[in-house]
Amino acid sequence: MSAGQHLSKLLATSFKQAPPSNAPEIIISKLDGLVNWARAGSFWPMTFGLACCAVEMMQAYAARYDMDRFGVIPRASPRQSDCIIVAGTLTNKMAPALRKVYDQMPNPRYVISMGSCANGGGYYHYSYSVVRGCDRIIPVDVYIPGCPPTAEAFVYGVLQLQKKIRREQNLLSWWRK
Amino acid sequence: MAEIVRYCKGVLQRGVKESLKTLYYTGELKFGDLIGTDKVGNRYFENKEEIYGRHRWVEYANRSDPDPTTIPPEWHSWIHHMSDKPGSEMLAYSPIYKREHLANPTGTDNAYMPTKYLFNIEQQKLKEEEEEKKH
Repeated sequence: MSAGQHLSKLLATSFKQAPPSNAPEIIISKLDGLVNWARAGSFWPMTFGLACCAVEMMQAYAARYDMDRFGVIPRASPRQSDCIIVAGTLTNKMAPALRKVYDQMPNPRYVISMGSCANGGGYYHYSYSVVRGCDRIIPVDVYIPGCPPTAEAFVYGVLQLQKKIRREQNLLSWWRK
Repeated sequence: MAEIVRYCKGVLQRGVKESLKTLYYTGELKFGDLIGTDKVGNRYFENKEEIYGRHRWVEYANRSDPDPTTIPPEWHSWIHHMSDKPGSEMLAYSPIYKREHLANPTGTDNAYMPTKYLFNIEQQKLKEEEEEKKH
């Protein structure tokens, strides 16, 4: 390892795909862009409101922050949704339900963990009945810190996830394989 | 009707090319006074005729990849309606011991990754083996 280079830099570069070089790769990466645009532009979350974070989530959907302008429409069914927003304390009793709902979602599916309780147990970390972070049950894409996070923080989190979706190169990696 | 008037005013202020760009990237054509520009290049606008709460906005320097964390601390209070002083005046209030403002590096090469992260350790082992072969 070269001196002075932080390992995190190494990691960041090793995950990065080479830019498309020949004609089919360029066309496929454009197709990728189209798919990503469609996915990021109509992003339907499954609302999994568990506690006070859910109130902030509702606030973000309401008139002032108006998530509808990003194409974010809350769905009540896991079959119709792209992402699940775990908003609030995940208890041991709720954990199997969360896993079941996540399993019912169609691919591609994303997870936003909202609030410190969902991130890592938060205030109830030492409770006998609380899961210490919803990432023990399902894989999380975006963590939103806060107790509860403001609606603005929630909007920022969703926009970060949109950015993550826009970076995806699924078709290109499939073609190269 | 009001929307048409608004769009006409917006086009008059910005010119056709700029307005089309703004419509494409933000989906909205706002017009108003340019209050200031920060060192990254974000432009801050104000229009008192807008609905209260929408009368201040920022147009990011990098339009295709807008990021609110690029707003430096001196502009934070203005854009959040905490004060009426623009960033240039707020600089006087900033502490002397502050460090350079950084935008959120998540998803970029500068993103933090713990040194003892498993993948990093594997990577380091491979590198060391390669270096041993060279000697």
